[in-house]
Amino acid sequence: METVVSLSNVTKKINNKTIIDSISFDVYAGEIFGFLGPNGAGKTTTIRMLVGLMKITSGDIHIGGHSVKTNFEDAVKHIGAIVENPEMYKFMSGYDNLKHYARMTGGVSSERIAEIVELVGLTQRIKEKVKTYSLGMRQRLGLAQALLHRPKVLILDEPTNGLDPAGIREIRDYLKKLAREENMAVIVSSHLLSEMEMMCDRIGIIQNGKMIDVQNVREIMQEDKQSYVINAKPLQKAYEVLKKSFSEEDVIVSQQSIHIKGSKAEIPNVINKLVENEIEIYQVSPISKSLEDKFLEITGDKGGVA
Amino acid sequence: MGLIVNEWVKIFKRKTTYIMIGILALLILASSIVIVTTDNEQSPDNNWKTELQMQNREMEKSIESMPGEQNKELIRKDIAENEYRIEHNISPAEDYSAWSFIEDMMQLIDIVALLTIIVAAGMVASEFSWGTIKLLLIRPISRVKILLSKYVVVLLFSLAMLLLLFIISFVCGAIFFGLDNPSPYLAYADGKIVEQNFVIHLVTNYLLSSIGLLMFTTMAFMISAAFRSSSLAIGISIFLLLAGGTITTLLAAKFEWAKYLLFANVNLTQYFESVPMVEGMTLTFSVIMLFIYFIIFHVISFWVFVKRDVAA
Ligand SMILES: Nc1ncnc2c1ncn2[C@@H]1O[C@H](COP(=O)(O)OP(=O)(O)O)[C@@H](O)[C@H]1O
Ligand SMILES: [Mg+2]
Repeated sequence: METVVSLSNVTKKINNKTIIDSISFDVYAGEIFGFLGPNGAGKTTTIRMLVGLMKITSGDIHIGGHSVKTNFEDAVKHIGAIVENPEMYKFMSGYDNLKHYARMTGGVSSERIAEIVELVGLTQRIKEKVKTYSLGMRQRLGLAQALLHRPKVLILDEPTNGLDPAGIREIRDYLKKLAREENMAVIVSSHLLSEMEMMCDRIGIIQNGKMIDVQNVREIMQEDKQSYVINAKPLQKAYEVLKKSFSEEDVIVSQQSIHIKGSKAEIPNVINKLVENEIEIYQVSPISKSLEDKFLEITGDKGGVA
Repeated sequence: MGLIVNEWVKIFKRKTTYIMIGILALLILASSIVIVTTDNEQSPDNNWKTELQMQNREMEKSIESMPGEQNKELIRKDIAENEYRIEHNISPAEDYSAWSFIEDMMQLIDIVALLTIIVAAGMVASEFSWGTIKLLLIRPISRVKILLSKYVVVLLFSLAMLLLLFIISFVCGAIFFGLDNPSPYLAYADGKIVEQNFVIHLVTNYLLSSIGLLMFTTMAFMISAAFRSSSLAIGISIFLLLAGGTITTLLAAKFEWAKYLLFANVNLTQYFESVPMVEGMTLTFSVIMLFIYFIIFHVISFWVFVKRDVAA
């Protein structure tokens, strides 16, 4: 896998206060990397350093092999980004805005502009002033602006903020397409876990300026103990059996079912034991423990999700 | 270069720019109408020579009681001019032409300065208040180049506005006062009157008067880039543009260091038309001072703009 973005021990201090504390992670071509953390965790600050809006206090960031610190122009050439809201020149048309950015990169033909406008579905309204656009349209114009010069990495800071569910879904599908089809590295930040869960391949969790954990989305779901519900008859006998292989707090019996906490690997074993003891099994299924709980668990009480 | 086109487009895609140009054109038109109507009331005066002699006697009397060397010199200039007119038979009421109108409209350079200060003040600060600075600075272009392109466009805009002032004045003047060949301009130097080609006089004076505009516009640009506030930039620059001269005159009466102030030096016509604001100042001194201020403004604006984090 080609590493497109690489942060090594990136630290940001403002007025001697450490806002970002030695963050390191890599993002590869073709993946969507989620940057997850509660409000004020430091997502935007990290993104500002990524795109060169803020100086890096120590550590370094490489984009496509170029250091943002020492070779800004070559590094930022590969980036397309929206930092926080997609603010454009409201008194100009969407098309004039795109032309404005096209003039700053070079190598963007008017055919390319038309193509990208078509892609984000703004062809009908592109000649109208941006002040008449809805938030969703601005978001799409923002995307168009970020993609004009065919960047290797697309960085979006809370792209779904303020969008309705349909808009969120649209962005999600579109980003997936970019990653799969154009082999683009996509970095998306959010404070909403449910969203990240649905669109990202990997998620880095940041809190108080520290990177707490970087995990594969599917791994997060599987690696640890999870709750399962078991329907069996007779219930009491099943409970006795399970108590032998699980600790007290991991087995809870209720009126119709038993809840156990265990890893996925243990499940076949559990079923075997129940069968051996001639217990009739009606159902064994995982209780979907959403990433949300996981997120709260990792970030503790302090990092409540807003 | 694309950057310069961008900045130019951003100025001229805004309504306020056209409103400002409209105000300028309207002022010129109004002035020409006022002059036309008042001019007609003046009947041709055949006794202008005796009138000028009377004026001169009045002025000679008042010269002693006049405070300030600069004011005294201005009166001496008027007296010398009147004497020259009587001697060479050049009536002051003679043909008010488009050229004279352009000269009168040079007072509007202060208005042009006002407009260019407003534009310069918004140049960087607006990008911050609009939030567009973020998308502007994440292009593969150094911040120095971006700021430079903005300053170049401020200069181009100022030049365009001055040209517009000149052209509109010329057109209005030609329509209302005719295009007669201008009578020579009576320049005053070292106590003597010298005849000068009027058009050359106009152009040099135009350029000299624009130096103040350049300095105050640059100052507004600097404040805008360094403090990211267009209202602060407009407020300070316009206040100093309007009040700077008065402040310096007051200070100059008491302190010698007043000559190092920007305002003491912006008006270079003082060396050609009258005496310097503060005694002992020379043209070279002023040019050097202006240059130093110019450099300081730019060092501050570029340094702050390149160094500071963008957290807007
Ligand atoms: N310019 C700044 N000066 C001082 N503190 C700042 C500045 N920008 C951000 N911070 C602080 O840094 C922390 C991280 O902010 P931010 O990166 O915006 O968080 P997020 O985007 O994850 O919500 C916050 O505590 C915020 O108060
Ligand atoms: Mg943020």
